[in-house]
Amino acid sequence: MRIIIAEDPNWSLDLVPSLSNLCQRCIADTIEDHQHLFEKLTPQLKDSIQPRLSLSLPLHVTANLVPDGVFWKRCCQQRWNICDISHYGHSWKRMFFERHLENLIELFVPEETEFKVILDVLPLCKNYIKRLNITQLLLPSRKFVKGRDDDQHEVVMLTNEEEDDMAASHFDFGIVLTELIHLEEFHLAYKIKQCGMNFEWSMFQITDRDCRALTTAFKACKTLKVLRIRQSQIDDKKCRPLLRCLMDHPSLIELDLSHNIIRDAGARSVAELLSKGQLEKLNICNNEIDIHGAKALAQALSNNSTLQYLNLRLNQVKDEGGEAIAEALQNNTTLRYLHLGGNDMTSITAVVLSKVLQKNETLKTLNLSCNNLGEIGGKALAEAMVHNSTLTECDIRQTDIDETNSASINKAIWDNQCADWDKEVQQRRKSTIYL
Amino acid sequence: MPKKKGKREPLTEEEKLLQMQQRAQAEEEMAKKKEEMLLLYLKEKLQKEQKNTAVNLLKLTESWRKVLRQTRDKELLAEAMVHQQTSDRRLEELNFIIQKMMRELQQGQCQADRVQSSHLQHVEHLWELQEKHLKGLHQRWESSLRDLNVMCINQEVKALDDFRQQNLGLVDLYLPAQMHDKAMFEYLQKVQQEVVDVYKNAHQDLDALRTEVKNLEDGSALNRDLLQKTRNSLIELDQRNAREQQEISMELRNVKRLKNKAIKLRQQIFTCQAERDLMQQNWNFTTDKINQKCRHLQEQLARDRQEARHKLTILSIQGAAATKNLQAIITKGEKVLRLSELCRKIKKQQEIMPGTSEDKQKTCTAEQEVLELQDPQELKEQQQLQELQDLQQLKEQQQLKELQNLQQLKELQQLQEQQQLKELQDLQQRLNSALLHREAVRKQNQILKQDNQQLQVLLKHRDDMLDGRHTPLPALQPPVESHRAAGDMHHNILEAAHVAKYLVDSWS
Repeated sequence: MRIIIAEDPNWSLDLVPSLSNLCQRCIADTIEDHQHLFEKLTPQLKDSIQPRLSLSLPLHVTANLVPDGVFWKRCCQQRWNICDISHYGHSWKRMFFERHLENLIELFVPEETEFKVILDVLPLCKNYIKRLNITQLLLPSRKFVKGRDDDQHEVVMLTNEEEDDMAASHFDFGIVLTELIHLEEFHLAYKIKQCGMNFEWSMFQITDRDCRALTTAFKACKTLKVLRIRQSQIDDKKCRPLLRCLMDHPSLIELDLSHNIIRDAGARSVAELLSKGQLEKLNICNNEIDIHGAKALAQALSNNSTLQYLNLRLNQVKDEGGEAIAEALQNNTTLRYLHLGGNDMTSITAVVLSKVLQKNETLKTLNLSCNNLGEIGGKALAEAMVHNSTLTECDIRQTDIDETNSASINKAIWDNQCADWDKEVQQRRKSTIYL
Repeated sequence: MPKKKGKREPLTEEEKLLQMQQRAQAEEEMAKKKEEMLLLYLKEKLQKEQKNTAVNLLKLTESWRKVLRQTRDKELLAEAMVHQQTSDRRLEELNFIIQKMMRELQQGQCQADRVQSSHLQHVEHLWELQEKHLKGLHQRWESSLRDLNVMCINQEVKALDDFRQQNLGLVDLYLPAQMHDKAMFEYLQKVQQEVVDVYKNAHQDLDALRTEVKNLEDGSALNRDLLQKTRNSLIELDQRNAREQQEISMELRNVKRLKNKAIKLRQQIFTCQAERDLMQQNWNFTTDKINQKCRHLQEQLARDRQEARHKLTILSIQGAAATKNLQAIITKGEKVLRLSELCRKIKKQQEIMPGTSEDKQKTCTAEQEVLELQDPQELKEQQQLQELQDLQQLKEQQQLKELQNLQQLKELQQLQEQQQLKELQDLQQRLNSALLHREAVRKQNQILKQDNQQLQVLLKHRDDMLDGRHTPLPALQPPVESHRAAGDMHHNILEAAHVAKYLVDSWS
């Protein structure tokens, strides 16, 4: 075939492409058929071929063949607008696979979509996925057809537990979690985005069957470090089995069950998990934990030596719970962050806390905002801060503490901060001198 | 007993009366009592009956109400049932509404909780991003600080090294500098001694010079006297210079005044010329107008003459016609006269013969008619004659008027021509005077220019003389005699010029 120079716009007499370039082009165009050739190339050559690879190549070809680089960057940018790789450990391949699988799961309609789709993808991406952040889980569509005309009946249905068992469940994570052998973080939220006119309250709940499925899934996944299930209407009954299965989990470090409806019983099971497991970070903010739940947690806290972060914000712990937690802190030497904001606490808790603070030397951040501590609480805290030298953040906004006391507390905090910074600077100097 | 009887009888009558009275009284009392009794009885009866009626009323009402109650019981029961049912339904509805509100509240609460939780999550996410960002910034800042630190340290080290090197260099340079200092010091001392020696020598020289100066001073007193004399002469010369400068300035001012006058005269000449031009234009314009008027008048005259001729012809024709008429009338009149004469004759005859008066009357009437006929004819003739006469008079008047008009026109023309001649003569006189004035001013200007030139030459010569140059003076022109009084001024100026020249010559 003869090609005239005038016809080919890319032709240039000056730059005759080298043979290696031509070979690279050929390989890039026919990579599907010549995968073994691609594998034999050096990493440099592989990187140079990546910009030319077609983005429409099937995953099963590219997943294990193309290493992390420009090709995956192009894939990500073609598909999604905002790509922040610092969130994905600076790996484009990881971002692509995680988001790809998240998309598949989020758009999976149970009893309609073929599970095969996900099954096919799983073996390809299991080496690269470390975090799954699922923000939507769809329900089977026939349920929507059912409950549209009977409003009252629906209310009855929600409260009726027997019928709830019959309700269809969301996506089953069992197989997914078993396959993903490197998964370390698992974020779930049982809600549906953009439901439009098809809104129903049942779209925003985790069902019992889901709980059971999750328990089996968690048992299978041995590398899970962070578990987060938010805004899924988890109550005591659903919380218990979940937490029971996590009690013997070898690697769970962080548990986040915030924005659910966990009450005292659930809090008790959380406390059990605290005492048996090795949790370092526990976030149960915006639940309905009461005094008894707080007391159980406080008991677990006093015996615990691994927890560093405890967030009990926006519960109803109240003064008795607050007192219990404060007394637990006396024995605890590992907790660094304690958030008790918005718990209907008053000056009584503040007084007890201040006694603890005078002796405590590990707590660095304390948040008592939106509790009505009053003048007495303020005074007590101010007196405590005189003796405390480790607390570097104390949030007392909206606590009705008068200005003099809050000023003195802030001043003490500032002094502690400055001391901290000085220590850091000295350490740095020492390290530079040694260098 | 008769008295008693008799007494009894009257007594009995009295008794009867009394008894009658008593009976009457008793009866009255009885009646009263009866009445009272009746009243009481009636009252009691009334009261009883009132009580009875009251009781009966009560009974009646009770029984009436019983009857009503019995009839209304059923209705009330039915109404109560209906009310109860409606109230039950309302209760149910309200309960339903309350439950619905509760549900909505709960759902709203749920929604609010969800919104709050999602908001909190977003805020936390943003917080994390913010902290990440801050950490990044902090790290960059710290790294830049470290870099700066390292840079500063390096710079300090470099500076220290440089400083040390400089120190060493300075030390190296110090010794030769010291040697150099010593040499310079010795050199300076030598120079100082030399200067002191020179100073002493200079003092000695000064003393010698002072003695010489004193000798010279004695010999210079004479020279001072000569100097003072020369100074006095110089002062006198300066005063003379000042006076002559003042005179020259006066002359210059006079020259300026004359120039201004010449300019004004020139302006007057220009204005007279302009006036003359205007007057000429006016004269031309008026002559044109007058010519036009003459033409108009001549045309009018011709027209009038033609009209008069026309009228005359018409009048002549009319006159001829009138004369013909008159002649006819005259013939008629003659006829009539003849007839009248005949009639008079007849009358006379009739008077002589009065018998036939009717015929006379008839003839008189006929005569009267004839007379009457004659009268109008005569009147007509008279009127026509009068008309002819009027026409002739009118003609004559018209002719007279025309003649008068012509005469007036001619007089007007003559007057206008005279006026124009007069104006022309005035203009010519003015022109001549202006021209003469102009020529006089020109002559004055020429004279002034000549004087100016002479004065300027004299001034130059003066200046040259003052500066010390000796140049020959040009020959001064003889002063021009003029008719004006300014000639005296010229004379004064020229005399002054001559005086100055004499002085200059005397100095040289």
